[in-house]
Amino acid sequence: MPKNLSRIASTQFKWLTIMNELIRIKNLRKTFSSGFCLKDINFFTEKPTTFCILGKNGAGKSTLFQLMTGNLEPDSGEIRYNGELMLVDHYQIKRKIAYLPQKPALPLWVTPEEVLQYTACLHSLENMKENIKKNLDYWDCKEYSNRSLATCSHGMQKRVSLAITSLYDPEFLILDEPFSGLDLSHIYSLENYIERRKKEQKTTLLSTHIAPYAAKLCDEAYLLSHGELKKIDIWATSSYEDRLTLIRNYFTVMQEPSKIL
Amino acid sequence: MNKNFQTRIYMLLRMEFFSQLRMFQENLSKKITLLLCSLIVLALALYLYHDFAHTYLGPISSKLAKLSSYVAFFFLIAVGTFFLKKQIKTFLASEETTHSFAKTLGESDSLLKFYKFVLSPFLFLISYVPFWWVAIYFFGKFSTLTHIVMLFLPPLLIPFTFLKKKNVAKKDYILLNGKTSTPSRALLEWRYEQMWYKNKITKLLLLSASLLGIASPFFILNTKTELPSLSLIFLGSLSAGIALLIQIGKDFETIWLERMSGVSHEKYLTTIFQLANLIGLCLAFLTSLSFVILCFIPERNFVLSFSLLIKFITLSYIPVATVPLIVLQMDPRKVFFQSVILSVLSLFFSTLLLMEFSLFLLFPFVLSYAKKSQSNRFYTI
Repeated sequence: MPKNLSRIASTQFKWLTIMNELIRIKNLRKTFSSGFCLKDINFFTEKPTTFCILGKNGAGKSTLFQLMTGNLEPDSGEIRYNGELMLVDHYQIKRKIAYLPQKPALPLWVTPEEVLQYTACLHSLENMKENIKKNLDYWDCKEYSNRSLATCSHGMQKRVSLAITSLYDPEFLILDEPFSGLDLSHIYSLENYIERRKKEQKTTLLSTHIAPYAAKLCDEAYLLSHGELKKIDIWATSSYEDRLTLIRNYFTVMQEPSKIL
Repeated sequence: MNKNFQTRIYMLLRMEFFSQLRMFQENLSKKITLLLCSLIVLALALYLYHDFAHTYLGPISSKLAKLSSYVAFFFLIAVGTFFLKKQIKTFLASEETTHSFAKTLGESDSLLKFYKFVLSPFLFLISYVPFWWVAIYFFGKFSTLTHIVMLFLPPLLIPFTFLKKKNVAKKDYILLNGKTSTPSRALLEWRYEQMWYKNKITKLLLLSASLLGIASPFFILNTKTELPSLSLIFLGSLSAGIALLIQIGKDFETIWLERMSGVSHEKYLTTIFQLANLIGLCLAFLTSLSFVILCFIPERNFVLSFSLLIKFITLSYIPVATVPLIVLQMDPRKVFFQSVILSVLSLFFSTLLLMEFSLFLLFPFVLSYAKKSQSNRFYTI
């Protein structure tokens, strides 16, 4: 009897732990025919946070994001969001996660307003018109909201993609190099947007090669190197300048973060 | 030509050569498989068409057989010209080509012109000549002079298509019309409206399909046989199917948007099924309407039967309805190959049904197999 009780208690405790975890990645592994592989990625976060994943080009960041968003099937391991297992066809979880790729391709012969309206319909958003207008205004897209996207520059298209994302404001947002192609005023808008999400207790994952933005905006940081993901433990307690030094030293002398500070 | 110029052009051509070589080396086995499969499907499509023109149309009317050869000849020439234009456009406009790279580095205009001049024959040989050769080998019914003219004239016309058009301000159609829709309805309307109002090629194909749907039954009056009319309605439905394939190809270039919005594989495929059925049924309706009108024409010397009406409806529906069965089997962005496969498969299905209509009962099994074999491909392509 006591044995049974302890087993039940242990199962319940395990379940409660899973329920409390916002995101958990356990022993995730993906190997490609080219030889590249992500080895036993482990990660978890209990509360909403803004964090970044740093790594050199080709480290596997985009692959990891594709796995996290369920667009790629892992060889082994699992990803859970609020205890729910992410699978390729679990579109109900996918609705809560947004991934903005580095170069988001948009349908070229439609207008920004139309593409936002389409997204609003797919998410069954209320007050659609006001929401679209608000987002187009925020990302400064109003001027060209009725022009074909084919006639818009890379930066203009990027702002439209950001407007799409902020339109339904997902619980978990992955931004892959979001600052590329944006001018200064829109970089400030993006910074404000990430800060606002932080205040609203929403999780944002940032992947950027621009150290000051990572140091300024992120509460946690991870390094992806040789297919392994490591948490930089001292990041949370470090100052802005220390974080910059940490990144600089890592990328110039490739030292382990724990040995830098 | 000074030595510096020679060195630079040599470096650029060398870079182009090795980049092409590396591109071919990357996934070599995948490329060879794709090439072999494409060649088999293309050869099959050509054989079927050739057989149709000679064995079936020939005995009915030599004029019709000749006409079908001309149609195939000019179709292949048109496809070759479009393919060459696409290659030139990629070569000139894509940011990833050696040409664009050299331009970004500030390379001189004269050198870039010379570089284009050297590479043009290769583009012409690889992209256009194979289509021209197949066209004259299988369907060449003209004089040698015409064949030579067809070899050079269409490629020479391509530069004119790049001329800047006058920027005429016009009020464009607003997709989804600013109104709220349910997700399923938005998925359907977004595609349907793009096909009709935004993409000129799909619009042209849909219009041709409608026209062929209306006109095809009337051909019976002149030919006294049903085959040309049935072929025309099949062609019409095939055009509509290709229009749908083009739209799906465009969808998959920007599919992150739907994936991010939690659109499921089932929902997407259902939308494609709905769209295909909608187009197929509209076409069947138009054909039936023409057929009914035909019944009122006096002094016709052809017996219009109910079974003939069923044949018309079947042929106007089958090619376009085949699209959802095949579209996610391979990459939907490869529209040309998808179109060839659609032609062969829909011809196969249509022939089966015309031979024995009760085979229609097998459709649920085909549908179930197609759904199973495409399962979750929406996420993984």
